[in-house]
Amino acid sequence: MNNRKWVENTILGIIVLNMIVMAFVFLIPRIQFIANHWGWESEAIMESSGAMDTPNQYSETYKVANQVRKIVTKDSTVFMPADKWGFELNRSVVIQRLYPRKVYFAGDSEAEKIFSDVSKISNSYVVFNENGGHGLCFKQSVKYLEAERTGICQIEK
Amino acid sequence: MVWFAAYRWVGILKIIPLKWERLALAFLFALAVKSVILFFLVRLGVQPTASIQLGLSTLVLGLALFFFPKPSGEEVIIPDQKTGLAWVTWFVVGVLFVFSIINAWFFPITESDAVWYHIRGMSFLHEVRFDSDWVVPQLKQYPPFIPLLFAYLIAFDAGFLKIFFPLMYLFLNIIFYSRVLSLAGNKKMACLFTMVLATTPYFWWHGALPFLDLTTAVFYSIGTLYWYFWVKNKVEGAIEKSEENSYAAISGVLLGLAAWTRIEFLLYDLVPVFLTLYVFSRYPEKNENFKSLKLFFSCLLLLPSLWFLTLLTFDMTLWSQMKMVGGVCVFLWILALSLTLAKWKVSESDIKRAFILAVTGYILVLFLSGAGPVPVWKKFTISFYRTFVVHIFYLSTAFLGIFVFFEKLKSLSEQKKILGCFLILFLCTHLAIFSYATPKWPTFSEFVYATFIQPGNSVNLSDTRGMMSFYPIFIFFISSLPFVRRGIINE
Repeated sequence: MNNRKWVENTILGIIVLNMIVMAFVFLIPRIQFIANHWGWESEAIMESSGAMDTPNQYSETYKVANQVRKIVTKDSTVFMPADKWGFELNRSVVIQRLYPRKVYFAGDSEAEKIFSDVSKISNSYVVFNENGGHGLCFKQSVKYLEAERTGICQIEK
Repeated sequence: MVWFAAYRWVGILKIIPLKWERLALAFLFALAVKSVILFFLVRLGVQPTASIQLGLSTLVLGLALFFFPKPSGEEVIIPDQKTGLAWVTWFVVGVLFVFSIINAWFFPITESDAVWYHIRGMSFLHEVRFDSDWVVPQLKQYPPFIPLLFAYLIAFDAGFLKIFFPLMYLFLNIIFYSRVLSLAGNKKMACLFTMVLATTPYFWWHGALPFLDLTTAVFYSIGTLYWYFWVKNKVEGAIEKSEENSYAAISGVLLGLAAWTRIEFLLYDLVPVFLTLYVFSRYPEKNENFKSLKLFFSCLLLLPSLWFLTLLTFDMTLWSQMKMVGGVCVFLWILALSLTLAKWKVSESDIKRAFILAVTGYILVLFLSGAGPVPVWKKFTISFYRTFVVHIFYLSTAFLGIFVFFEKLKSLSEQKKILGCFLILFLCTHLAIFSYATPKWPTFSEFVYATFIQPGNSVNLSDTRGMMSFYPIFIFFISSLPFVRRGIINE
């Protein structure tokens, strides 16, 4: 094979190999995912397992955050238990979904200060799970979320 | 409006003959202008609402129409180039771009760091400040480019925030094609190498992911290509001063934008800075035009310096790595002022001594700061391993490297040797940066495991993503080799 053929064929081979890998690793699985989830709301896709090449690590957090978002108003303050969810609650996801609402996580020093007299904060909500928050919802009407033993209540002034 | 204004500016530079390249480059500059407008609005405490943005964009357009004359619209015709391959290339790029757009539109932002960029975008718009309490300290210190672009779209209630990334992918390919065409003067070569770049899976993947890295790679690699044309023409002595200034300004702005997106790229910018000084020292009689150097340094340093000044106003402890990069920024300002205002003369031997001094200094810093959990030698070994092994994630594109072994390197022209040195120095800088940083895993075996057994764990590590800036330059270098050219063009 002369130099001309060899160089050109090598470059063409690189292009073809790239396309094969791209098709099997990215394009085909993503097209399948899109086809299977076509027409879904953006929130539902956030809660899905994600595409094969970028699995969604935070689907459980999105489920909780999206439910809370539907309940609380835009100007509210939300208190969240940080731990013991049965999955790793991702703070950035909670903030992303609830912004511009103020979100405080139990255990943080600033949150503890505000938690200590939560009834003074207008339009505040407490999310509780089996690890915490129940006490603050005492005597309040509670809505249960889909996650087990998890709910939310609005603190009356 | 800003795109049109940027198009006018690119037009008057008179070094970019191809219309599509001018449009693509103007888009990148338009994003830069948009980000600077938003930056100053937030800095001044003015909420960047849609109406304010529209008003300022109209002002920018008005100024551009007033100050920049209408470009002549002359298009360079490349003779004897009726190749059907051009249609195939743009069909492939077009299809991949459409897939990229569909993916970016369909998938919401759920990726870990990208979630923070989204939050920062919202906080810039609603809180009108850069140091929102809701953002974790480390992410707060990242440069604001991508979050500012998100803030721009959020202000217009646009839900499709990821649209910038497929566009970056498309414009990278257009500019890359145009630069190879300008260098080789042959469409077949431009088409083949553009297809190599466009079909590299890692690039396409990041065209649908909302991370900083593709954007950085676009700015850095394209900036380097324009920088190369500046150096090449200077070495050949075939450049007018106005052209020299234009290349210096474009490359400076783009290299600065890379650091405006990922601040550590100010360290990678040391490579073109060093080689520019080398060229200026080697060709002193041809290089009396300090205006180009002034333009290059000021364009490169302006945006990162703005960010460092902003960081100083934050009520928080700065990250030690950030302080170090800030020190490099100060050093570059001192160097630039010494060269341009104090008319410092630098000889070739000075450059060699400075290089040896820099390497020695780096090794000293590495050992003096090596009190972390991982010993210095181990960090270096891991970084060395990663610098060479991450190329498997660029798959067959990395195989282009075999052409280097068929080339008579000694007989390469001076400018091509400089570009080759650029690539080697880029890898050395990469190695140095990741030898300094704390590795994700403490042992070498964990990295080997994450590379070959569970590649999903390391395919998107920071060092793999950083290598995206290397590949367009590397492919361009390969396309410039005489051996490759002879193999493609029947000369």
